Amino acid sequence: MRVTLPGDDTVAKRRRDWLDAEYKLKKLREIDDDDIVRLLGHRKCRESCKSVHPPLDELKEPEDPIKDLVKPTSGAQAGDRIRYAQFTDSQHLAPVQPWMRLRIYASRPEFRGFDSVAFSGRTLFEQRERDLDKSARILMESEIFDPARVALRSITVHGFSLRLDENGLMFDARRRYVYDEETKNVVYLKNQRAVDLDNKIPVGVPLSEDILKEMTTAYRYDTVPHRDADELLKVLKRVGELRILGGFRPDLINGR
Amino acid sequence: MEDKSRNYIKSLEETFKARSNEICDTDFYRYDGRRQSIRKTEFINSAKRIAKDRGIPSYDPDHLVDEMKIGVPLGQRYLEPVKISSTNVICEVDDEHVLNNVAMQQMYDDIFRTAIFCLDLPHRILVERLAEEITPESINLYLETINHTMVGGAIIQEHMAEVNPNLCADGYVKVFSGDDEQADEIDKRFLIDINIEFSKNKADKLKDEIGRSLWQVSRIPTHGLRSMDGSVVHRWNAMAQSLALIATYRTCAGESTISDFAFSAKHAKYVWIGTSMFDSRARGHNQPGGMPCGYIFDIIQYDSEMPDDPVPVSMEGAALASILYTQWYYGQMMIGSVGATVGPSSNYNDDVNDSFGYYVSEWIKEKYGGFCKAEMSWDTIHECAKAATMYCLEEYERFPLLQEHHWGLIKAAFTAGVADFCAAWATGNSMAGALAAHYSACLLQKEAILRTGWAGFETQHHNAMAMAGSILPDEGMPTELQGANVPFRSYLADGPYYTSLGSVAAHEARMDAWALSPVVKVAFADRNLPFNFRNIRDTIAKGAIHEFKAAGERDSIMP
Repeated sequence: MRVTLPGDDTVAKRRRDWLDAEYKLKKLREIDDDDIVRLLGHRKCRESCKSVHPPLDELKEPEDPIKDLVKPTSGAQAGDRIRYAQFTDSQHLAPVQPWMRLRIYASRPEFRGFDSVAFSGRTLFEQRERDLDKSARILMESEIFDPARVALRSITVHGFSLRLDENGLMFDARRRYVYDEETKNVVYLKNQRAVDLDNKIPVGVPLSEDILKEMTTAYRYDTVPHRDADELLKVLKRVGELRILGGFRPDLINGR
Repeated sequence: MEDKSRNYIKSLEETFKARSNEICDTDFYRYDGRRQSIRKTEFINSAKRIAKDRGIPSYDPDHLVDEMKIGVPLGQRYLEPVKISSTNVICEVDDEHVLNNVAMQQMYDDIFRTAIFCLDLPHRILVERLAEEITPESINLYLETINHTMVGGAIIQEHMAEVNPNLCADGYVKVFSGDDEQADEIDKRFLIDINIEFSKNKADKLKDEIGRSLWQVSRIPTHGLRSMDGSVVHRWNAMAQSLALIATYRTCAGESTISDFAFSAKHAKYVWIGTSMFDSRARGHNQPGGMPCGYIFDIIQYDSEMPDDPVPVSMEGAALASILYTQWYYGQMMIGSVGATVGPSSNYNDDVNDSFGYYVSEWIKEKYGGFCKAEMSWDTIHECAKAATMYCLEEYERFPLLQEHHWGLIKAAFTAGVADFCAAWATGNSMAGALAAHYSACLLQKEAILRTGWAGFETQHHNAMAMAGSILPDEGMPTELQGANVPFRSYLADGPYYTSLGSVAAHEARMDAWALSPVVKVAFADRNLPFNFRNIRDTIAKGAIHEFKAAGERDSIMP
């Protein structure tokens, strides 16, 4: 489904692309399946997913026509517990921001069966465990992830607002990752819960500042200024006005 | 006019010891953890002593975080000190926690231990039912008597245990009137003189509104409020007052008029500073949850610099509203424990609010030709919210140090506040301010940079925006009468906060003498209060550096 969003600038276009279910997110790096499990830290590598109920095939459930219409995800089918991945996006040119991230989750079919909440710098993503493994891999391998400005952190996220660490990395008080001078990769030393990993996990080479400026979906004074997003501001003005009228004097909306 | 819109840069660079436009901090992880903070080091040392003495662990980040590896290793970044705006005081943000700052505690106590009551009714009872004569002499005798009973002295009761006056040194009673002749006859020790405390223009407006009535302001001792709660205030006042009336006018203890004295003292023409809250919040009278936003403007007494400059008074209002609604009510009464300090204190730290205020006030002068000149319309609200929001977002992007200082949700909440000032100053309408704040947070900022504040912040703004103008939740009350005392606002950090900002800013821009109540305005012009409402930021700064002497201490009854 093509997404309707106001504006014809590059930020609006990028927003439309990434929210478009038919647009294929570019894969920029490869991360091993086992490494994804290690980074998430919910179970040991190669350990099977813990279940919270028997597989759906074995369950006798009350009659519900919705269940005939909606096919369960493989995690739901198997009865997996719900687990999480949480991403933190830096204020300094991260490709996506919390609300963009949440909208991407909601608009793309590969993330079906998720729950989320967007905070000022972090966005929670919850799914059945085996579904989460797949989603986390997509989210870390695709163009919406930058190893330096986006991080997997279940706690201690406020570095997203801070100045950058050496090598342009987003600050992390838990120091879950470092920049490897030799391989030019960002490598994780701890999982998202800040528990030490047995082995370093590389998650790719940071994107350049110029590419990040081209990619970011936030308006910004030195890329596409917010104040120049005329069509967006026009739409927001209308939404704001109608919302007030809806609360106070719905009769004045009168077909507007 | 001097450009003050970037004054905050100097404060920030001074406290961070870094350049504001640098994007990297190469010293991360080398700041010596929490030991870089003098206060936190003191806390650790004190807590070690406490734990040893009592045999139960206490505050112990060294063990929990460093040894057990749970929680955040605080101080990997620079724990920047803060400069309290408009002062030269630099302190640590711990010094601004309401439980660490005695000036903030006294501010709370002085506001909520205040009982304001009109003496006209008991005087009428005395004249019309008992044929007593009310004279200047009898009023002055009554005032001397109630200053005895107000601090726990017995006057008509026999063989009573009384209260040690050392515990109640800040309990007293004063009066004021809008009538100069009547005021002249009051013993000056008991008078709040409107002509002295206010400029002529504002004094005239206040006197016109107050008229010939004689209003009494009782300060229940801080010790009383702190040992009980705000609900005792009207009762304490009624007890002290009824006894003083009985003694002064030599009436019969127990005769039918006495109940009328008590009723008049507690209910009739009695001004609550805060009403009691709805059941699930279950707090008594006189606490921030029940205080209407309009009182913020009435309590602050900072000298106005209008017609040129609405910034100083508006910033005093922002400081008071932040401390009362966000730090006290939301941070401690709703959350408790560590509370919420860093976010709300950003409104009175490092001159940022003032600087941004000067930017938008100049913009208003250029755009509309002055304050209160713009039409109250959605177009104006949109224009003001847009100008303020875009400017703030650009400043945060240009100066990464500011973004680091206002980390996380602070930036979003703060930006919305600047939009609030802008619309309120431009229109002179408090509702315009409140709507601009919510519009900035939930639409303009959200769609420009795809971020808002924390999750609750997101919820409340979408709710509050329509509800701020709705006839339902606050029952259609003007913004000055709104507060945290409705369920949809009660759990929000900034529901009453934005309404307060808009209210103070609009009334200051209009050069009003008061916002909601002329008697509240005069009651807090009293110079005997321990907390100085003439300069809120200066007084909390004294608290921050431990130079403020609070009332209500129990030293005189301890070893």
